[in-house]
Amino acid sequence: MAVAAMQPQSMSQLQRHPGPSGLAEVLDVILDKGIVIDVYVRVALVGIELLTVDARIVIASVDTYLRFAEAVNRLDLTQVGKSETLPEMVGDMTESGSSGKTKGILEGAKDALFGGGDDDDDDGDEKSGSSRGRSSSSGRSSSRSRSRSSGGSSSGGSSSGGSSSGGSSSRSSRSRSSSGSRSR
Amino acid sequence: MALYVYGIMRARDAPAAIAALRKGSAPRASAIDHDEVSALTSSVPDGELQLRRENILAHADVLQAAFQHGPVLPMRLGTAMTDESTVVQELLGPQSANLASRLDALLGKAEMQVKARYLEEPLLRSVLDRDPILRDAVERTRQLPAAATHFEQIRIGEAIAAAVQARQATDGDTLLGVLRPLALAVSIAPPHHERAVMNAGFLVDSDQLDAFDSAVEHLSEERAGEIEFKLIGPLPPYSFVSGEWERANQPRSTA
Repeated sequence: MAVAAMQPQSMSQLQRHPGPSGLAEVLDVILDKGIVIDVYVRVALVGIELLTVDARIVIASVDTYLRFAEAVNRLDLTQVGKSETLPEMVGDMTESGSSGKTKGILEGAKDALFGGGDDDDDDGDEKSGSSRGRSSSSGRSSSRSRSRSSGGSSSGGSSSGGSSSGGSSSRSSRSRSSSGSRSR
Repeated sequence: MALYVYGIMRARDAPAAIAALRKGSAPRASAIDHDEVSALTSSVPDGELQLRRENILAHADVLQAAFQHGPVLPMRLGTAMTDESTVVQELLGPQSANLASRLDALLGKAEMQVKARYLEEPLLRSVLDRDPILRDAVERTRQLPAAATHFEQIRIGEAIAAAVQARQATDGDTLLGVLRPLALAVSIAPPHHERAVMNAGFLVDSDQLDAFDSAVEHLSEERAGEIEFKLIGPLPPYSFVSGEWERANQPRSTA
């Protein structure tokens, strides 16, 4: 079996591993894969040990939202961004001492935060569906980990095959809950 | 005792694999032969398997070591059969010609897994830069005590998550477009991380491994500072042995 030629590690940050390293990565590589004869899969995946290292993240969940929110709160927003900006608005906001604005903020929170509805990637479903989606996504996340712990779940079949036109269609059906009615 | 089954090899390749396992640090295994195929097995206690860390790692280690000596069809983690005759009657026997031809078809091919994800800070900055209303919301919410903003935090996080997902779709397609032509087949896996861009397995012929590696390296340089890449392999074809998989649009002769 030919082994890939070893390239010098340049500035590219590419990490190469001959095989999966660490329990989480091994699980990600081998779980729900391979030839299966259901009656002979005798696994009781030990719940606690696995759940603490299960690296599979459910994208649309409240935990994820809070993590993103926390991460963005740590950003130093006085830096000017490198990608597209609307220069005038950025200029105003970065100097904001918004003491004058806080009075109304709780009353007008929803509108003030998400008023215009002109998010460039928004298809409108994200907001109206979000409360519905949130509960369903968190429901889904818990059922995903439950079904995995019983072994031989349907997640194995869909991840490696059965997709029709694009691989991306299977991806979107797995990872989207509320905010994607975007068809691929 | 029962028999834990790691995977299946061609009978002619199994002895070398077994010998290598005996010498190395991976767990020992035995081969059960039938016609042209062999099952790699170890003895395990009867009854339900408690899969601990060492068992899970052992499954991958045995297959990886065996793979150095010939094509391997991995079994699903946690497969154990009663005894040797069961292995022959239920696994190898009924399908031996099919298994043999699948192994032959996998000769000289390996799985390469590409896991790509956004770097956090550049991603968040970019999301905020493109969405001034969201940026404004972040700025305002910061001014308030944390207890008052839990609901807003969730809304902000949700908006970020949606923006990230939209980028994932676009960037994922771009990366796939570069790498698919170099592979025989692709298997898209669910995202491995909330900032994931791609989590995919590629079945790559040995004479394309260098080109594939170079292509990933090139992508990594092109997107440096924005996306970080991890390339794992050559692996046994875990993602390509159960059911169908998506085929890349290039007919390739296996001869």
